[in-house]
Amino acid sequence: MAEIASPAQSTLEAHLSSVRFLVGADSGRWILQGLAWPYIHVRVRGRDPESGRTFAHDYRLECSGFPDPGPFVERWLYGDSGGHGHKPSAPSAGSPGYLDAMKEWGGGDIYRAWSRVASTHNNWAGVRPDEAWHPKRSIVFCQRQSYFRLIPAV
Amino acid sequence: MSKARVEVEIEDRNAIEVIQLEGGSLGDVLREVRQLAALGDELQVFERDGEEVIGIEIENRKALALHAHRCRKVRVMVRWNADTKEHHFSPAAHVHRVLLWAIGKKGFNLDDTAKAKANLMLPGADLPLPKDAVIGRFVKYGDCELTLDLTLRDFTNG
Repeated sequence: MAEIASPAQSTLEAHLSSVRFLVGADSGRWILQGLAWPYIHVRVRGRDPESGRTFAHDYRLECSGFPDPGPFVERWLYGDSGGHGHKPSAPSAGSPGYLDAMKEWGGGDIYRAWSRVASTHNNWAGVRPDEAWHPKRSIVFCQRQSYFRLIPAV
Repeated sequence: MSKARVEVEIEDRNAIEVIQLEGGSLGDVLREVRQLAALGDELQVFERDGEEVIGIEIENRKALALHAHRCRKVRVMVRWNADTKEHHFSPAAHVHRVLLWAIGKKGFNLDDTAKAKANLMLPGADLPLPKDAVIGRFVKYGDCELTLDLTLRDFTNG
């Protein structure tokens, strides 16, 4: 018997087939590497307009209950040779903003207001509603914010 | 016949509408967007975060994100530390694109630490503008100008 997707999974899949997600994928800003509920793996690519240098970073988003609560976003290294990869060490080189987002901290997720645990740290979601997740947002919000954080990345 | 799903945000309406097109030609897209906007033939249609109006490169795409505005270009003036720099952007440019210019070598040439804190705000606002907003959302047709303040106010989280 086929498994019936949960409402959370169905909602997430609808977001992944939305216009805004597909447009970002078509333009090369991100690529969906895999969906293994409740996880999705996404590679986000950016290009520094001044230097022309390109950057990419993988993320794993744990989406239980989606869209409320929002995704638990981790820096990730997707397994190109099979499997879903692993969480790499925090980067030691890069711009201050990039290192702050990717640092190791107690919550375990990336340190940005759009990730589930980080959003609660020091009332971050209340301080930065423009960067915080809320259930009416699309999953694309996370990809866009990741893209913005990547440039200038290093 | 191909079908296209199109998201379009029109001028300063601050709403995104989705339309489905039976055909994906440039003419089909322009006709539907202009009908939706009902703002006349001056309306220019851009891909979201694009600099130029759309052309035949969009034909037969399955998904499009567009911004429509009667301003062809927006004169953006960014103020910081009693200095002002200006540049012309398409109304479809994301706030993030303007921010990159403002903090970069052609703007105020901030160092990496300052860049990490930089945001753009509307004059008198309390919060930074969302980086994924198109600047046309804040521009009225007629003047086609936008004044923004660059801030290094610490919005980071401790």
